[in-house]
Amino acid sequence: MRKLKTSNFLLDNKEKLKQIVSELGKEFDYVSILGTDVKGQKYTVSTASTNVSPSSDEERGFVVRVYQDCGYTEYSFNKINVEDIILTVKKLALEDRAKMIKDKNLVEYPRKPEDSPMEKVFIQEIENLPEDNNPEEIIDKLTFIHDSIKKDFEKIVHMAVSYSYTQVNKIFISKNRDLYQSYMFSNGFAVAVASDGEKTKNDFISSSNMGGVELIEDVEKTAPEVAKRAEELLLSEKVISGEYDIICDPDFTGLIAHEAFGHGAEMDMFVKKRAKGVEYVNKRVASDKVVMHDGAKAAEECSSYLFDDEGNLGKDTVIIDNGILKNGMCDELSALILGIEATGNGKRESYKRKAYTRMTNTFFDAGEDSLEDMIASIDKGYLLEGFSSGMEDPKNWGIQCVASKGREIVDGKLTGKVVSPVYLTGYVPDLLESITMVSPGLELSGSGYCGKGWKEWVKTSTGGSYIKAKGQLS
Amino acid sequence: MIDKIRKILERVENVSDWIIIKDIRKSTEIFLIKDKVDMNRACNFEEYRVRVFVDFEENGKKFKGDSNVMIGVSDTENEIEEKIKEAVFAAGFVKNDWYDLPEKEEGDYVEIKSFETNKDLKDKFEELHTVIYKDYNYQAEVNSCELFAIEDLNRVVTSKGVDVEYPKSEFSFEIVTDSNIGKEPVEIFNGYYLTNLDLVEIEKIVDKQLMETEGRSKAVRNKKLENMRVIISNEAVEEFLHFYLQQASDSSIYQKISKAKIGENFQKADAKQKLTFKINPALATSIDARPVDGEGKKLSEYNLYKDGVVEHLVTSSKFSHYLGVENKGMCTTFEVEAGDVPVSEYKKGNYLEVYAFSAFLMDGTTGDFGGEFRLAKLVEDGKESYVTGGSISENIFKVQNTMMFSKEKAIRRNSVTPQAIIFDGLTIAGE
Repeated sequence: MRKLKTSNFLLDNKEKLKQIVSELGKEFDYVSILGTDVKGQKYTVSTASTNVSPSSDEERGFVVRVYQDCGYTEYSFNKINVEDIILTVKKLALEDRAKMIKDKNLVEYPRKPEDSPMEKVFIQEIENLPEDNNPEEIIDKLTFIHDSIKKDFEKIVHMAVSYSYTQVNKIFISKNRDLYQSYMFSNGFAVAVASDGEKTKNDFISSSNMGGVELIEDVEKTAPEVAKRAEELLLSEKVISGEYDIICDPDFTGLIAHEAFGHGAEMDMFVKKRAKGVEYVNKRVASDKVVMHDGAKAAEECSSYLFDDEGNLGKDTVIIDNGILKNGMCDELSALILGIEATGNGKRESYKRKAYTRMTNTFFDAGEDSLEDMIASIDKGYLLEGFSSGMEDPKNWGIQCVASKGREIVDGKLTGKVVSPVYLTGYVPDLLESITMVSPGLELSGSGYCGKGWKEWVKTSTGGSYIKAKGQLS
Repeated sequence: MIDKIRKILERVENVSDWIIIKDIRKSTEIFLIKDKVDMNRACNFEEYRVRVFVDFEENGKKFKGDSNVMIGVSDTENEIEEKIKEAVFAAGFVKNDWYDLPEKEEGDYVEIKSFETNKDLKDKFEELHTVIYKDYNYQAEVNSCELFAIEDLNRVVTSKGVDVEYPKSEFSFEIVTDSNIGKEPVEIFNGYYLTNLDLVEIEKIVDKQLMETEGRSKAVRNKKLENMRVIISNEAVEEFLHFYLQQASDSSIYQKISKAKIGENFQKADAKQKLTFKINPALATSIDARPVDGEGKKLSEYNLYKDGVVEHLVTSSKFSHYLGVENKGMCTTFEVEAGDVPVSEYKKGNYLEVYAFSAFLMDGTTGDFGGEFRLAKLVEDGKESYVTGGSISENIFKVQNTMMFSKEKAIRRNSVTPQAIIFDGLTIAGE
């Protein structure tokens, strides 16, 4: 294992960042700067072409936050000129803001952000450093995987396999804090499109790790499975809508954890009175079988870090404990208004965007029931596998989660019949309270991104194990 | 900076072609909780996306490899050179069959109008605040709002002599509205994307969203409905119609994930509503209007479909070359011809009109579409009610020959299209 190389860009500019904090500190009660240098590469080999592109998370820039008695102002930039930055921040925070707020009410913050002294550095150690990656070897390996699938599966008309790595370097400087972190995650995808001339169906399997190019081995393992699944979908039928006993695979369980309840526990929603969860703290929202976590320290997956984008350390927050809603997750500014401690969940899409309360690694704990017993316990229902998308509804606790497919279960046995796509809808507490069985074997997936409403995409991971519940399918 | 990058590209070995895309952005952002001002922000950045191409031969066969890098305004010359060298090295292993990039073309490029949205947001914030928070006489109110004024200046410069600069203006906002009059409090949230700070348009948007939020507060859980006329008239219309753009793209056809063939009918010959779909890069109402695509191809107006027949494709240099079709460029702004009958005519019997989906999903490959709806109006035997929580799951190939378009048109983020699409005989899942 070797340590990642740190960012020269961030460390070479550190003194300038300190100078900005110091100068602005003369005028403002609180000043912080987050610097980001995120880089990486994505390699894709598909039936149509081969592509090499930067990681979709690539960014390099800074965001300054200042606080004074009339509230918060931020300035995002990627050109470092200390004098210009100080002038711009003062203009934004003093002149522009004064004009804007004139006779309007302001959101009031009872205190300035937590800024207790802290100096910490985290530099991840990994097996394969990105600078040792050989593009030729990566492309050759992905081409081999692609070609094997195309040879072995005749109905696969299009296959794409990809590997990407992203090294995240961040620095956070305030009057009393000096934090630095370098970590890396990798994502792999195998996507197959099957056609029988009439119908076209697709499926994907993703993989992720907090590491490097060794992940391609996972892509190689999952590629035949995804091809098989895509071909199987050609025989799928439409589900007859109705309420069924369902078993969710770990991917779909993770989607439920994230969409159905995770968004509702984001406490900036509590501040705006947009979350029904605020009325349910210390009340039952799920069956006894449900324990749900979120946190950068709750697991080692793509959303694990030392500190968040507001300079708060990542934690392991128990959201639901044996069915009872215990805590939400919280960014710094929402925590100030709510009078609680931030949980290290303040995340930005990039230095260009505002920080919000965001999920990190969100999952249901594993249980002790076997998948076989779950299947055997169902007279008529479906085993839901994979996911294509989901949408939150924190105010009303509605659910929309879409599974790639459902496998029919009749009289305690899988019949071999497949339905697709499958929409799971309904009311979150009804679904969570109906969970009667949870299997061992927690699995997390960090290949996805999470939006806040329609925007602000950030890296998250989700997971769980097999769960049995009741759900409205269509 | 462009000159600096260009000089590096000229001295680095093995670069056959290159494309530089410059993006300078200036934004002003204001965040409100209820009607109170929370944070204000600004964002200024200057970035360059550089795509390098390496031509090479193996066993007498020509290949063109490419790779991309992102360059920031603070990157040093050494860093830029290092990034470009790494990209060139990687591109040398990308074995795509050879193709050529678009050459510089004579004639005028479509003009994109710019607006001073940053200045407007600062100068008109007072009026805008009034428009958003005034009393619209609904039992619903604005919960929170985020305002973004964005001005971009883009420039596309290529080794083929293209050098085109164009602006992008955007005033976008997310608005959350809620109502507490029903059994349970409800909310609706949406994002809207305008090219300028148009107070009249914003007033219409806020009014409509508040009306729908009041409607949701009165909504009851949807029961299962069979053989129903369903009208979609919201943002889902654009997402639904975007499927046709995806299908008529050279990459989809080359990847064998499309059923479109130039010169052939995409719908059945007796389809009730024949599709006429036009690409329009200069769509004045869209924030994505542009004179050139990302490869420097000059964009112009043309028909993608005419009366259901595929006339042309949206294309890139690579896949158009592979398919042997004309490269028309990659453009995502479009217009769809409306129907002949006003939407009111379609509302004479029983129907369900969906106002807001949780998230409308349209699979560009399979044609599967649908989603759970948060608000719909149900009219059954002359009785009107608001319903929520039902869902639709259909396939476009099953419904496209019987669907109908309204006579009225609507402007959306990337399109001007029929205001509503009408489907008959659908099943709506519910309790």
